[in-house]
Amino acid sequence: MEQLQGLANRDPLALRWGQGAAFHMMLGVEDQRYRIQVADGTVHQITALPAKLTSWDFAVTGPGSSWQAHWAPVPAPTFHDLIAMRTAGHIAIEGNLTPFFQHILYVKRLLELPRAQGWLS
Amino acid sequence: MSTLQIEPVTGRYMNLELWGAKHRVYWEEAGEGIPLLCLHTAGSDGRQFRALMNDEDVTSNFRVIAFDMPWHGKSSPPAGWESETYELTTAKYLDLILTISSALELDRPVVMGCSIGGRIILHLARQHPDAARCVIGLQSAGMVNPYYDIDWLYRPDVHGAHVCAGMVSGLIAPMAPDAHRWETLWHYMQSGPGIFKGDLHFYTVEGDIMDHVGEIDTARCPIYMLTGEYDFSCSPEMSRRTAEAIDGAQLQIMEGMGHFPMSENPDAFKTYLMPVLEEIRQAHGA
Repeated sequence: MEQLQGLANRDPLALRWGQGAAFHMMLGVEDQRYRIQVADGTVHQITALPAKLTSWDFAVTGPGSSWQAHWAPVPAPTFHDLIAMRTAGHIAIEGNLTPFFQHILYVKRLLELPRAQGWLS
Repeated sequence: MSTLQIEPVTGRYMNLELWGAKHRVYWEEAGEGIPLLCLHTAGSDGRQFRALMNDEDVTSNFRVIAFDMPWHGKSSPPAGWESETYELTTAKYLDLILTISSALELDRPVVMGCSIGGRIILHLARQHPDAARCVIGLQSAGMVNPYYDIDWLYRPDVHGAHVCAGMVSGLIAPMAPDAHRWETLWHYMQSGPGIFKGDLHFYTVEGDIMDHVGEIDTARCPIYMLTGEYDFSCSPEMSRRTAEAIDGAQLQIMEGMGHFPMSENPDAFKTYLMPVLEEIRQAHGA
């Protein structure tokens, strides 16, 4: 997961659509939680939780199997997109959704970067 | 050597009375033969049919016509729009299609609509079965399950271009070529404020026809339905339920396709559309 910061901060799509983004996102993969701090449209820090009491704006969480399917080289229908996964009940998106919708293209890109890297292939 | 390529597509404006007001409507067309009137998705415009209009296999037998709905694309909103809230309804949408068809003197066109267009063709076939020689529903269903609060599409603290594109980006299949994917999203980014939301009023609230699709007489107005497997808005399941309720409806699920077949992946879409167009051509002797 620590690779995600470097990937995001040199990905042309993430840099293009992250402009102005500033939020704290909690990413949940199975029981593991990560706080992703975004400022000035780039990922500043990714922290594995619970390191300390912390807060976040919105959380995107789901079982490992959902993320594995999302990051497959060719994801199957309902696993291919964050909103599709949420609609099908594969993941949850909760919290203050204003920054999520303000930067939806960036958030989607951020969380699909592992796919482009073939982490699971 | 010149790289100039001029497309065989012409665009013009018509001025006409519609919805009780004067409207200036833009349309594009290409080809000759059986009129094929194309209806774009919510919050987008007629450019979605750009590939179809550039495909000689289609335009050699069909006159492909796509208009931008009022408030969309290059069609203007009516004078006084600044104090109105745009909201599409079944009655207004049907009136629009019949008015444009009449204005262009189309003889019982094939009406092909996608998403909201795929919904209105069901209403058209039920209420005006003799207005079209047949209808083609892309991503067509009698009703869909709303899966988010459409107020997110139009509010002062969320950029409309970003959120409209962001909400539909996942409706495009992973297999779509990037150039077509981002062209499709660009159209959404250019939508006027609140217009996508206003279209979805018809799609997710007012335009439910599920309880009445069984009344459609496919002997008078045949129905073809094509639905992409990656669409989770108008899912294959919703199209199946609709097709099963219409005696004689023909449904094909399109593999590797999402919610915008003609725009997101024109080459793959063609493999599904051509057999339908060929059947229509043979039935109508063009």
